[in-house]
Amino acid sequence: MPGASQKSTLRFLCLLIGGLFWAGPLLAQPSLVTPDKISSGDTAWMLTSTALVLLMTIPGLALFYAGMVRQKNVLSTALQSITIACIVSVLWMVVGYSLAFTPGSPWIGGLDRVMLQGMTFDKLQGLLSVSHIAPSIPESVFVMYQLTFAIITPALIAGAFAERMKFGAMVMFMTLWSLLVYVPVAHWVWEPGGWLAVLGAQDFAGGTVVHINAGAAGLMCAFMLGPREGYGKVPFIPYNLGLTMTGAALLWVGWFGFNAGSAVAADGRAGMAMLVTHVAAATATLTWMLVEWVTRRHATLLGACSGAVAGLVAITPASGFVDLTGAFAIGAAAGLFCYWGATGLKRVLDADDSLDVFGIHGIGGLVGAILTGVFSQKIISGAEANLAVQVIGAFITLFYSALMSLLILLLTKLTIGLRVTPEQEEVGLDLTLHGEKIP
Amino acid sequence: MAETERFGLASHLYVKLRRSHARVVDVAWMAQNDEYAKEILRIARESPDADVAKIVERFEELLGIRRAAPAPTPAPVAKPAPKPATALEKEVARHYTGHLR
Repeated sequence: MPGASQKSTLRFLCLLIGGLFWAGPLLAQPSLVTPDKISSGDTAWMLTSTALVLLMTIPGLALFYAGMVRQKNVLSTALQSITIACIVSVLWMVVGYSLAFTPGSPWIGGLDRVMLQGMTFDKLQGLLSVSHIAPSIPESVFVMYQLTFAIITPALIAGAFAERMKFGAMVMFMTLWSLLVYVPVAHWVWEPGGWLAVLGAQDFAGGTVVHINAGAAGLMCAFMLGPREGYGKVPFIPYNLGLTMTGAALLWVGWFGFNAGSAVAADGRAGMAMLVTHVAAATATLTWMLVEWVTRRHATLLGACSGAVAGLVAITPASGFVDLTGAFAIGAAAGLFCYWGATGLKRVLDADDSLDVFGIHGIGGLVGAILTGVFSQKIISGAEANLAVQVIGAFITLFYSALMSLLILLLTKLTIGLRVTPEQEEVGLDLTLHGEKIP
Repeated sequence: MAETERFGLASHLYVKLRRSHARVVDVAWMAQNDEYAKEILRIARESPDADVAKIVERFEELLGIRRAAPAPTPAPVAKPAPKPATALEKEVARHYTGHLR
């Protein structure tokens, strides 16, 4: 009798071959149900979660990043978050959702749902559409919820190239990156027919799809753009770490929508996800501060905020699968490894990853994805986790995102260029690119 | 178009004057307000920097004014000695040089 892993491998191979000869969409159109099939409790929670996750980017991430750059680049940094939110929103409705969340091949979804074709809310006939992934909530809510993930992922990357990228180049990069990197990876992991989902990779809320993906892209951006003028020679004083703390707090609270919302239900699993999310964030914060105190003899506010985000990142893939012990362990590991990622590893990589996107999101995502394979509990998740599969999923996403990001950056460089002029960088992007500034 | 060029020239002038004279110019206002621009150009003309002279010349063309005769070279003004950095300032500078966290 074949073991579970053999069955899984066989199923994966069948799907792989089937995908290569993919002949057409399966279940491409959503199901139409009557309103009594919809759970008002689930719907209320998912509406709330959607708002919480959007708050993570605007204003959460915008404030988090804006507080860490120099005064002359605060407004341009915040503007990037808002711009990305708007670009991705349009792309998602036009084509992104269809390619990510409809069954197609194991690599990418279909185009049958372009412009959300088939999404229905018919009050007169008492019918509405639901996604096959979330049958207890209206499809419109699921589309919006997934959109907020599609927004925050590229917005995270902006921290790596802060203070030196042309605005037009940023727009071009984010547009292409959303469609060529985020959408396929979301399909691989979260669409039940995606090849990583079939392989059994566990990623409850986006450790791979969001954080490893963004971290790898951020590192490539830092390499391709090169260091900021004066990097390593003059101090880059953060504008206002109070803004960063406000942003981090919004991220922390918003993360309850991110992780507990990924249960797509108002149930016990969502409750567990919220609990472990909070525990991991608190543990990572304390760990980061402890490491700071041991190495530098003082704890810092930026360190506390960074530790919190590191813990939140690392618990993300595990949040629907682990218990309290797992949360403590993942939080502690995240605090330790992400501190190293933002300090020691950063020096080794020798890239000006301005706001440590790879050090925190890349490393935190890897820590979380791998430790999910260690701490996932079948009694909570309903399925056995496989450490090898977790590692494969994490590193393939890392390499795919890095390679594709590199290609997109090269294309952008060859067409409109990546960097502002040294004079613009000296004066600041707020004034030279956008004609406004903080007095 | 001229306004965009004025803004660009003002940005360049900002960099040059800040570096050589430690003078901060309001770029946006200089691009909008002729009187302010003229006053800044008067100050900039005193700079021995050839690049600054070129910027001033072009800016004056955009303003539609003839370039005034170069002002006599002012006597060098002794700059006040910079304040010695405190230990705290040194620590802050060290902390944020090459890394954020």
